Amino acid sequence: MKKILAFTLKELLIITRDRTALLLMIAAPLALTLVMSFAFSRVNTGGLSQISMVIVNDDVIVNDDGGDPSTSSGQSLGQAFVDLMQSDALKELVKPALADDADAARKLVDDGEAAAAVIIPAGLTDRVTSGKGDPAAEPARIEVYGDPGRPVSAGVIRSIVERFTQQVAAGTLGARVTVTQLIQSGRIQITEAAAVGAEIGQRVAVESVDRQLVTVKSVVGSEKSESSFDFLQYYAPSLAILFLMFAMASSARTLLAERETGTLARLRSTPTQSWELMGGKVAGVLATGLLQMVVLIVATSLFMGVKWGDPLGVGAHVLLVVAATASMGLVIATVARTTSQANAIGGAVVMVLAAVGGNFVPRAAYPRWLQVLSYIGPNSWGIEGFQKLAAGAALPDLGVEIIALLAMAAVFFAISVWGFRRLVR
Amino acid sequence: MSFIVEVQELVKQYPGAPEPAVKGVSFGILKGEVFSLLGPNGAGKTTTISMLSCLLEPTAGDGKIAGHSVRADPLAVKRAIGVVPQDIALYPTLSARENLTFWGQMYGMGGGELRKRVDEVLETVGLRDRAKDRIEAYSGGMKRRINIAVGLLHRPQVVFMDEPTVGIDPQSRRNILDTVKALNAQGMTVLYTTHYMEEAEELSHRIGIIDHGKLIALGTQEELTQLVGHEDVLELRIAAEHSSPDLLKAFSAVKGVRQATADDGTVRLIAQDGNAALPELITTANARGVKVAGVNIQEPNLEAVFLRLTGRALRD
Repeated sequence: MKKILAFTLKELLIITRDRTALLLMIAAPLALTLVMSFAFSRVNTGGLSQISMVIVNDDVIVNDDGGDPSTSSGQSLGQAFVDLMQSDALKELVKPALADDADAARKLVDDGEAAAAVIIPAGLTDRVTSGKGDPAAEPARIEVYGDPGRPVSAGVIRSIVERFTQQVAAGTLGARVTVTQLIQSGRIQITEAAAVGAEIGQRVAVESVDRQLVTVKSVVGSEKSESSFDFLQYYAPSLAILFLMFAMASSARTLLAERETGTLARLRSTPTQSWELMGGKVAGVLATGLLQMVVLIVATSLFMGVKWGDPLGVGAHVLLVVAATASMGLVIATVARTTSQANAIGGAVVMVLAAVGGNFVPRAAYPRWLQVLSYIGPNSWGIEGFQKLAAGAALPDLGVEIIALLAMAAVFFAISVWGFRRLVR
Repeated sequence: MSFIVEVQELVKQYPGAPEPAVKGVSFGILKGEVFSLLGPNGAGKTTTISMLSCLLEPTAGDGKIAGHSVRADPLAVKRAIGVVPQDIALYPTLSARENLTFWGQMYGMGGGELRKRVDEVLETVGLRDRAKDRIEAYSGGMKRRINIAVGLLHRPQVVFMDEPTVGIDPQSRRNILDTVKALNAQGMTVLYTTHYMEEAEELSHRIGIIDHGKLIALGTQEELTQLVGHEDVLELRIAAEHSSPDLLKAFSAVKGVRQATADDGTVRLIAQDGNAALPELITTANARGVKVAGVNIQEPNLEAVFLRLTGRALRD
């Protein structure tokens, strides 16, 4: 283990002294991120801030006396959602507006005035809190109508709505709203609120296990929208991954360089086992990739205002993306016979994968068949994961991306181990 | 006295090669000895040393280092040997100290022991004051010295040095030869390969002459030169176009000349007494219209031995 650590430190020391490599790993992706963002759109220097959205709240409460619909709709789940979006906690992230009509709200999205419209159906609160209605009926649906030209912003809104519905399903929100209604109608005393709330919460939670009370319906808006796409938010991770692939191919290629300069033979003349040599090289390449990604993420966050999302999720996703791309680089290095051959193969592979995987142009703009083909490389999974995280997803939400990247890392690593044995024979 | 290195009928056949690079080489090296493998480029020196360093698997035969077989226990062999390869196997952007520290760690060393040992080997090769400089800033000779220092770090029982003076200036070469002698004076056993006769003569207790994968002679310098007796080697420089079988036949017929070979514009002759044979050789050349542009007479040496055994000069 000490030898692997020594190997890793040696690799990091060498890479940090290589100005050309640092330019390629750090400066180039940062510069290109800015250039691409400028080239394709007005640069959104604020990143994901003040996302414009419109809410249509049809979930109003009708009083038991059959009078007018309650103006105290503050007690409905719909109003709870409106309150949440207008809260101080979200005021920097979203800029909500209210509308009375769903079609009008959708039009605002189509016209590029809002990134998404959230349409809360009538009777949502009744459906959730009192168990009214047919248990076998379809669950209540909150519609999120998103602008396809602003997938990240729309994704953020959708993610917030999903969190809201999860809270409802867990019973906490439903119980709170119902208790407020009961107190205001005089049916219970304030002193009874805690016990009643717990009982309702438990009931709703149990019920939500049996049948889904609220679901989120995602609707993609009209393609003709002329609204701005979050280019900076898109290109920061996609170009970071592109240059990570270059760096990993380059870093793994040092294995061939070690053979050509004689250091690999010298390493083999020391009492160091083959697995320690392979482990040391792998650890060195991984450490290089992690260093690069950490620097890029911190730099784009601090200086460009890019939002990467949940730190734990981003950390884990970075690790997986680096593992998959590093293993891919090692395959190229161990299959090629010379560094110049590895250069040619590595460059071609990275460029093709980048073009197919959406590093230059969002995959949403591709035809369907190309979108499917894009999944052949780790880069598309990496970009998709980062997009989800930026939209508010957490690590567990990245199930498919995690499995795909882990599988690629494992397969590529197995091939590179075979290639390494051939290399040191 | 027992051998610390024993080589038994070592053979290496590379895949696809028409014949083996090493054809049944056997020799032994005593503890504390400097043993040189002397031969021209392509003779099989590096292949032999690579098999003994466990970098190449022998096709046949075996080698034992400090009692450990290169076939059966390569890890123990690697702990017992220090290898100084022909190439500068260092990381150019790391300093000498960083390189030595890394290589020491690859030998399982660490902590204060390694730091102390790095200082010692830097002192041994005379570069302690340049320890912080990057290898890329060193001259060729200095790089070679650090290349040697790496092989000494873990206090090996035997050091294999594969042509450590190739491509460097005379001053650096002198420094390296002095370092080898100093190491040997401290009791280090050295297996040294070279195609420079004078290096083998200066350093070695015993010398093995290798050519075309075969060990063709083995012994001390005195023992080897006795193979050619008291014969001298004469070199006559003539115009290349005048070199012909007839001329060589005529030279061979001169009294006292035992052998005549030609290479481009140089005719090499082995004679019992070079000075005595020289006037008649020049007369013979002139009689055929061949002008002798230069003459060199060598006392019996390893060059003469190689010439006598192979019919070729060592540097060919």
